[in-house]
Amino acid sequence: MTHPMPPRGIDLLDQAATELRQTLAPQLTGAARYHALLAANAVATAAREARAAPHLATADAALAGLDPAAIRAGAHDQDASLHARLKTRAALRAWIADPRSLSPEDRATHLPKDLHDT
Amino acid sequence: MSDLTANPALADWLATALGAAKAQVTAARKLSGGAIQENWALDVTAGGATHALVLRRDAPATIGASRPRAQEYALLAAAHAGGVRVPRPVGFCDDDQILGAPFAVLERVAGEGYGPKLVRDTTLGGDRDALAHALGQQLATIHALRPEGQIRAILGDRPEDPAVAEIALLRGWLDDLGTPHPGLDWALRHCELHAPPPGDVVLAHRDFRTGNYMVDAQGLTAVLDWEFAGWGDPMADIGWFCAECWRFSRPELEAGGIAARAPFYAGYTGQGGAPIDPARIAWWEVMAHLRWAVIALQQEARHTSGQERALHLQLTGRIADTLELALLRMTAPQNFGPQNSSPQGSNP
Repeated sequence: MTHPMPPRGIDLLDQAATELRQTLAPQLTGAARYHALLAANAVATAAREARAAPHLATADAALAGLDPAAIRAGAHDQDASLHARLKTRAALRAWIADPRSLSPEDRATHLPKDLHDT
Repeated sequence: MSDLTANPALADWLATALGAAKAQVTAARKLSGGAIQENWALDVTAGGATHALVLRRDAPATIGASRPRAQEYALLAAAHAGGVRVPRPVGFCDDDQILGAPFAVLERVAGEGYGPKLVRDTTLGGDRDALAHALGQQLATIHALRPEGQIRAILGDRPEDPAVAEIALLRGWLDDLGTPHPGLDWALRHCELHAPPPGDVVLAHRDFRTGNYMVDAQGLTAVLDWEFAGWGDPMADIGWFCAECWRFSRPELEAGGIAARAPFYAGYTGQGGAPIDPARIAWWEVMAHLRWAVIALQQEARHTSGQERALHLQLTGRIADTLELALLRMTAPQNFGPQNSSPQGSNP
């Protein structure tokens, strides 16, 4: 299911986000500026998602077969291993959505090295 | 809705609502914000006066927690009658022949309401401790409302245990989304295990936070967004206001990103609000992240279902991912409770 995007594709998204934010948005005001920044955010998010895809596939696989109903029923109360796996997956997804949402500890514990400087 | 200035039926309705023989909409401008509703600024001349009004109409798709417009209007009118600082209600129209959907008209209140801007720009809202104090007073005034008659009917049965009810509600909404969210289920289970015992149940605003009130340079001008109002634990409104997810760029200012908790709490208790219960508030702060996460996913579903294709809805869904991480931080197996991101943050 996961097909890592070739680096050239990711580079294209990065540049598109940069130009939307730095070149287009400053020339706009009001709703037009808002939509340009929204689009810049969306393209940057897609680029991060493409970068994180292999790690996300691993994090998803570590939760394969998990039944949310079992969590509700209390079968995983105090399950530190499950909590750690959920948090690793959540940290990747949160990084994709907004890298600033990770605490320094989240970054150190859950963020793969190749994503640290992007 | 480009027909607002040239709509004789709307002009007639406004004339009646404003108690004038004749009314004319001289300008109509769509306002930003309002993901669930469309808001229009109207300038109306009637009876020799100019009225600055807001018209609120349902957006093409709505989400589960949102009340029908007529109920929201009735709740706002009750709050107005009870002395809460809200925009003066002008009228509600349930005839969908005029604008294609029912709509409410309120007096337009001047000021800024956009949360991130309000938190960032300290020239807004006057003294921030005074603003937090005023907001605490407003919340206590809301909690002192004693619903009767029509409002009582709108609110329905008073839940025995709002905490248990909220957990069940959010689980139901998660199921309705049709996709698994085990991280959110983990946090919900934690909340279930640590739920506070039942206590007071009051008419709560249920969306009382920075972003849903207006300020001018001097201070608070209006408490907005009554569409989620309903029975609730009074500490739930306080937790929603203080939850880290509603502090925007100022997480260290624990009362809504505008001030420390102390002035907000003092305004609340000084106006007759219930005693501050820090443990109960802390629990509702975790639940605030859960509720916002599920609502963010519902917003995204409006896009993915095809009801309303929009980039801002897709990106709102991504916020749920950041909330899920925050929730998993707060609900570690040995460390239950909200985490304050700043060491200088203090609880009274």
